[in-house]
Amino acid sequence: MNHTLGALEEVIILLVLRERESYGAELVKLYVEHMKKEITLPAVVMVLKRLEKKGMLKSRTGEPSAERGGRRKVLYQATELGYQTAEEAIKAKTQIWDMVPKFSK
Amino acid sequence: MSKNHKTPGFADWLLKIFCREDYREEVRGDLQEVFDWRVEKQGLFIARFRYCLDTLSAIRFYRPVAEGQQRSHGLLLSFFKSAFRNFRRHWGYASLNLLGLGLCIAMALLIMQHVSDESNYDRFSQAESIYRVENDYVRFGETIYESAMTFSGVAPAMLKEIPEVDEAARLYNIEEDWGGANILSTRLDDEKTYRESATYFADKAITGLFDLNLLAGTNKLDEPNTMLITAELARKYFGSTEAAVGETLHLNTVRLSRELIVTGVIELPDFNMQVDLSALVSYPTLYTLENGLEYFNNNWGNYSFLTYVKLKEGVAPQAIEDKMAGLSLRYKQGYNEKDESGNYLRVNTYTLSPIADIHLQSQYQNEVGKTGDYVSVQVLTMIAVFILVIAWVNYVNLSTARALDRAKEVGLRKVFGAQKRELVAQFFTEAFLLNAMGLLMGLLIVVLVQPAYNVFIGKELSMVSISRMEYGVTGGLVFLGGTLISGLYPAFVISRYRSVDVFKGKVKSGRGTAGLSLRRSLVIFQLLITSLLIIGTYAISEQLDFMHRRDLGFDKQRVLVLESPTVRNSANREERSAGIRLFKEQVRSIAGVEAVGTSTEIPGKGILRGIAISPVAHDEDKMRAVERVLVDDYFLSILNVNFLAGQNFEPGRTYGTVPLVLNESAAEDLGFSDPQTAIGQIIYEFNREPREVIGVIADYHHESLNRVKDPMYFVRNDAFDAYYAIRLKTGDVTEVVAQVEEAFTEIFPGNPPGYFFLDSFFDGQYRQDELNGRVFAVFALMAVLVACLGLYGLSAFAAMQRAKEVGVRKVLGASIPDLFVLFFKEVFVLVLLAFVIGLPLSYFGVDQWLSGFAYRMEIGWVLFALPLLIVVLVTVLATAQQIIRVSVMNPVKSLRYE
Repeated sequence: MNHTLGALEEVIILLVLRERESYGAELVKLYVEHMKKEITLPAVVMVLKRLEKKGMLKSRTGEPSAERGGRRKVLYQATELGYQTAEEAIKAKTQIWDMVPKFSK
Repeated sequence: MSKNHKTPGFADWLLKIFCREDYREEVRGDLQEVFDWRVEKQGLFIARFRYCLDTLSAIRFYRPVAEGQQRSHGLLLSFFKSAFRNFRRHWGYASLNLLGLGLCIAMALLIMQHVSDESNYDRFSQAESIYRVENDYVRFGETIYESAMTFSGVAPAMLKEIPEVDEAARLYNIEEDWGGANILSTRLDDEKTYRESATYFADKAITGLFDLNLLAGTNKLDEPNTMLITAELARKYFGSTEAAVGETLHLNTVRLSRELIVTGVIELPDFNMQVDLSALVSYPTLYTLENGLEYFNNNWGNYSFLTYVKLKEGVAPQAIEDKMAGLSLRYKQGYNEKDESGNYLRVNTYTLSPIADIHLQSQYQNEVGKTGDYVSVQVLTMIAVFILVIAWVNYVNLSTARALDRAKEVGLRKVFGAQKRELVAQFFTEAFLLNAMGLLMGLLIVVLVQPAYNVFIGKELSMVSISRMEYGVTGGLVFLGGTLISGLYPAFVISRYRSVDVFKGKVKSGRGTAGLSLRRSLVIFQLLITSLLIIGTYAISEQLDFMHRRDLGFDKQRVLVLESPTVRNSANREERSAGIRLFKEQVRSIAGVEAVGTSTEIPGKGILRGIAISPVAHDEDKMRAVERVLVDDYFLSILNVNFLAGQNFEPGRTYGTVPLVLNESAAEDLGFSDPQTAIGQIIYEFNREPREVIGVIADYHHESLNRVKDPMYFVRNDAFDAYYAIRLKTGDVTEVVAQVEEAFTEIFPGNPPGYFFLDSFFDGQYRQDELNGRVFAVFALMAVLVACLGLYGLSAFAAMQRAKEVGVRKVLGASIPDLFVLFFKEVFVLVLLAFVIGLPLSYFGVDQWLSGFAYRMEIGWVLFALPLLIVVLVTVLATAQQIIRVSVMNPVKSLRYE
């Protein structure tokens, strides 16, 4: 089983963890707010599907709502595996970052 | 956020194709949410754009249908791969091609939207057998009127006497016939009163003929004092469709004032209708008037009744028209007189027009509802086709230009055993891919510019307009055909090369080879269409300018026109005149008003009924049909018309005989060679009532310059007030208008005031021409742009091909200006050739178009010289960069590897 995370996957899983439970449209909005750049929705959905396949997310179908034109949303939650993988990835990075000497001009 | 914004429909369609089904609901919901959010944050345009990108990017969800089949498409896949590699490698050419195709397809689609909307009128389910009965009247060999409407007696007589007539229905509008607005009002607590021009008295059969579905209630149009209203009107007066049924609306017109019960609510069909309907009042309501049954069911004099008939299956309208002649003779009294040779002196003829053709083809002056312009629709269709042709010409041009480039590839492929058939297939795949991408891009452009385009042409159009079956099929066929032709030609040319020749270097682009001359003629063709479009645009704008600038013979500036009240306190003539006088005095006392006058006609609106007048009493031969206007003492001076002889009516003066003023053509018609001689003469109205001529005015343009000036005469009469013309002093207009409105509602209670300004009303007649001008201008601009792309690509290629030649010339001492002359001369020859062919064509076209105007500009040489200059300039600009680049290049560079 592949337990690594791509750069975009990492951001998305972090956002899902932060929200506890989230869905595509909300993630696009959060991504644009936090990362300060645009993203297309299908890119986000693709990542969600991939993470679900890797067993890091699980999904359930929500209720239809008017603001989505009466369509159901699919809500995603991180699994234990997802949580751990994300934690490891971030930890590894923070460890390296801690060892980076201060940057002086 | 309460409401979902509408997403671009085309993009949704894309999504449907790209996105796997099990993801679709989730993705669509998410997309809608993100779209709404972006609309709030970034505005509609950016949101639409990003939405399209989103759907395009959803292609990643695409899942091929079956996985086992791919092996058999191996070759096709390799074609795809090499096509994409080629696009990437030569992205300059590919994007020029793509841009040209995309732009052209987008333009053609936009044009087709408009054309389709114009031809989408009155497509009733039984439209093939529904006809409108129209009516011409000829007396002593002279056409007295041609009318889109006929008499009230025609429909019942046809039903009774002609068995082939299945159903018949009349529509009658008192506002059109008698003037004065149709006013509808509720008598509920919060009274609502509006002018509803589209209120018609209608026979019950109309709902069946016009596919008007009942949303609620029942159709009781065969009983007096009932009505049907549209859902829109139901909402306006009662809040909802259900609430309207059983309620009462009060109808006020100049002839009739009634409480009407709303028995049902109707839904208009989803295509356009030529006649605007909002309320249908039961026709028998009219019979309850005094003499109503006689006048509204058996009248053969007043041609104000729109009459629709449905014929039995397979009956030709001509057969009915023939029968109508005999019918008319029997029903219409006093039309049996014959001259010496046995022809009838007075002849009524009836025409049955297919209902779906009326919108585009009707030429009647008294046409009601919306009419379109058949010629402009045809011309636009032609332009759409031309634009597509230009796009494909560009493609053929650019790809044959690259043929040499790819000759080596072909040679190599042949060495490795490729069949010619496979090579053709390969190049064709490329053409198809590029065309498909162009189509996508065109659709994307349409989606993006649609809102702006709609504002520009003043219509609510969308891709839905052309999603109708017949357009879908034609469009698809045209596109496939174009792709086939534009793709196959280059494919055959390129795959023809023999590998041995290629590698030996025998294949050369010399002058006079077939490829080059074909390319040249295609360029000439492009330039030809471009110059036709530019000349057309220029001609339209010049003619419009001519019409706006021309002295109309009256002063239309700062004249406020108020329509007469419908509801009056008294039908008594004395009291009515007193009301009019009172209102005029009130208006005159308003600070910003210079003068106020009344008239039965207003410039900018045709006068329908000519009245016969004659210089000799009781002599029918001397009678002339002249348009009659009843005016008060002030109206003519408010228009500021030019008196050639005599003068206007003197306010307050009593004349022995009723005075009148003629216009110049009327004076001539009556046999007065000099306006001066007409003064003081007695004229007989209806050949018996004497009137004295006290003035002759110069003809003024009562209608747009499309029409000639008709003979007119003005009779003094201050009891008729169809229009109040109010000349305003310079200063704040809104304040004055408010005060006039106030005076109007005070003196004529129950009448919502209706007013307009004479100048904009008059200029409104040119709206169609202005629209044509703008549409032409945009498409001419686009055609120029696309032709530029083609020229640029071609010049780039030519420059590359001839780099060596230039090198040699420079080594032998040619100067840079010499080279410029050499290259530009070739370009100019093409431009001139195109223009020489285009000149007679455009002259003919412009002349044809202008012949529709009674007053037209002269066609001068400037009309052609300026467009020529533009085309030359544009071609120079498009080719200059490449020509300069190759001319100043150091010959060492191009000759180094020889």
